[in-house]
Amino acid sequence: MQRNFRKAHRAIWFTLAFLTPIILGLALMMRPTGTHEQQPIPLDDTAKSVLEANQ
Amino acid sequence: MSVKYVPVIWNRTKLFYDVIVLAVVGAYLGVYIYVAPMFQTVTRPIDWDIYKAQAFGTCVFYLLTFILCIGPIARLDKRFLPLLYNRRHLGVITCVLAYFHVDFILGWYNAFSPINRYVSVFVVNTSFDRFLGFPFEILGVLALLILTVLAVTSHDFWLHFLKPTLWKILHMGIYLAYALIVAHVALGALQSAAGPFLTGVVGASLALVTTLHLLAARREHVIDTQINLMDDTRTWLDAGDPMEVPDKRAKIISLTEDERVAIFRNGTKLSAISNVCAHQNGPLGEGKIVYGCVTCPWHGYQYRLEDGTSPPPFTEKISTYRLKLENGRLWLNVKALPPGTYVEPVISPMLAGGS
Amino acid sequence: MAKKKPDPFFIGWAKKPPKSLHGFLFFISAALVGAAAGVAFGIGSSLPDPGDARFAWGAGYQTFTGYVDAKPYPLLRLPAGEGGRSKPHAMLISGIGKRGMQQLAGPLSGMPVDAGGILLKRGNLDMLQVGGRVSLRAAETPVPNFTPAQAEQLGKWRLTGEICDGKCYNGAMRPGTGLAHKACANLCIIGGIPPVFVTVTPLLGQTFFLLADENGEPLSSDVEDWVALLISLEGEVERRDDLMIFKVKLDSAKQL
Repeated sequence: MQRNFRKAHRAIWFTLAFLTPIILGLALMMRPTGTHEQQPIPLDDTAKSVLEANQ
Repeated sequence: MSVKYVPVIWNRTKLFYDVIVLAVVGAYLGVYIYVAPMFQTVTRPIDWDIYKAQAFGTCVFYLLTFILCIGPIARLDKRFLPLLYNRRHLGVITCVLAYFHVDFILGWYNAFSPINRYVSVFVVNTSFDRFLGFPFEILGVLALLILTVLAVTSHDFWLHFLKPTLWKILHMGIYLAYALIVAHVALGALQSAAGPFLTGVVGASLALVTTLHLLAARREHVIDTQINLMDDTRTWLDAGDPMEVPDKRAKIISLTEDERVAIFRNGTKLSAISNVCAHQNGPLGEGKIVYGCVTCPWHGYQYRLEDGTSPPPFTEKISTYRLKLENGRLWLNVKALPPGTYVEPVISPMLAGGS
Repeated sequence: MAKKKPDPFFIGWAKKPPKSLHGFLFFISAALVGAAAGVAFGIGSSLPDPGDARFAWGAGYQTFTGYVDAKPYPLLRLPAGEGGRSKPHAMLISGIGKRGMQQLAGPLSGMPVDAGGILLKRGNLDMLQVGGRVSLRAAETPVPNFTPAQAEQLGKWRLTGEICDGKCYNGAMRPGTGLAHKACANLCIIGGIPPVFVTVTPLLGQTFFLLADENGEPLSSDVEDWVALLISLEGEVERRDDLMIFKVKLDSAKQL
């Protein structure tokens, strides 16, 4: 019983010791970093002419 | 070792322990709430309720990290054992602080709305299919639920009612709670409301807790996989040279298919008892003989060496094992005797020299 | 072996911990208190700036006279000169707490109104939290010679930013953006507070866009799934006075 308890204890720990850092790492990696497409993009002629008029 | 239950048994050590815990909590909250704002570079301060919620929330994380480090660090370095003695009070305090965190958040972000603030936690964000944007509050609620169950069942009454093994399994829920809280923080505060320092602290805390546990686990694994020679009848196991057992202390033997046994030495006398304390399954073999009794390193439960029974008025009993001395080597009978069975200690004249 | 070597053993119920452990325990206690103070200071002092958003309590109770548009979300159209601005101004309005103004504004849409309440301010942006004595009512003395200008169509755009609720962003909460604030923002939007899009780079000098669906109607509750994330959105942009309105297809939303 004790031995099984210790085994279960270790198994739980190994699982969480891998899972939790992965979740934390993923969440930090997926944080918006500002490197994404950011400029407003005109999608029709009206928008393009507005953009030209204001450049 | 109480024979009857009182709400909390106090002693000088526990008082000291709690005073230090309160000093830690006080220092944390005091500095966070009243000192740190003077050094912020903000156009306008963060809302007071939200700021206090952050203070209590991060304090809970700090305490929980500390709580989870105590177990393995006390395994790796025995000087830390006093931190383990009253860990339950620390857990209860942490749980109470978590409720403050929730109360500040619900009283601000979930308030001022026609929807009930408690209901809103569960219904207002249903993006369960997302990673970023996942309702991280639910993770916090689950963790709080676990902390609450553990705090409520932390009393020795529940330990005896559930029996140590079941109680320990229940209280391993703290690991799940910690994982949930890390995810709660990672998908919530770390996505927007946190500076780089908080991100670093969360990462470092998780690394510390994980590393300490892996180190302790490796140590335990080494003990569990030690191989001892058996005799032809497969009932006696070679426990080595009696000189290897330090006076007043024990040598731990791992039995192949069963439990661990602690072989204690008291002067020239040697006795073998189960390594498992009847209170919280503490490692008796890491204990010491004090006032003629084996004393558990965790909470000081005591057992007589010759029959594995606590001295009256206490009633705890653990298994004993037979020992014999042959050709200067110690042999251990692998069959556990019923708890409380009297076994005559083996006397080794070799040990008389005080070595 | 080492009989003389100290072999400290801590017993919780003993009167005192072993002497040889005193120094160590004192050191650990001091280290824990010190670390607690240090961590608290580090976290508390390094929090990001929540911005200059606030309730303008100091300005007191304010009243405005202009017109009200009920769609997509209730807003006031104010003539030049009102509120100290040199040009006509379109100002979002909200109820008290997380409640929109649809019920009062609906029947008055397109009509001259008086509105009274407390201003929320964030830089040049503002919003009126309507309430109190005047609340929102048909104007007692409408502004003469003023009708709101037609909306100006600025074409179809793809913009990048975050959906927030217009009230918290404008000053009701600090911080009023980000995923930690998402539940609050959703509660606001459910209650009728206008959802807004705050872009990472400006379009014609503006980063603040009132959201609407393609037909200029309020957005469906699907918007709640996209709140507080960095996303790109596509739709027609129109300008009413100085307020940008972004009429989007939520299907075009992409998480970045």
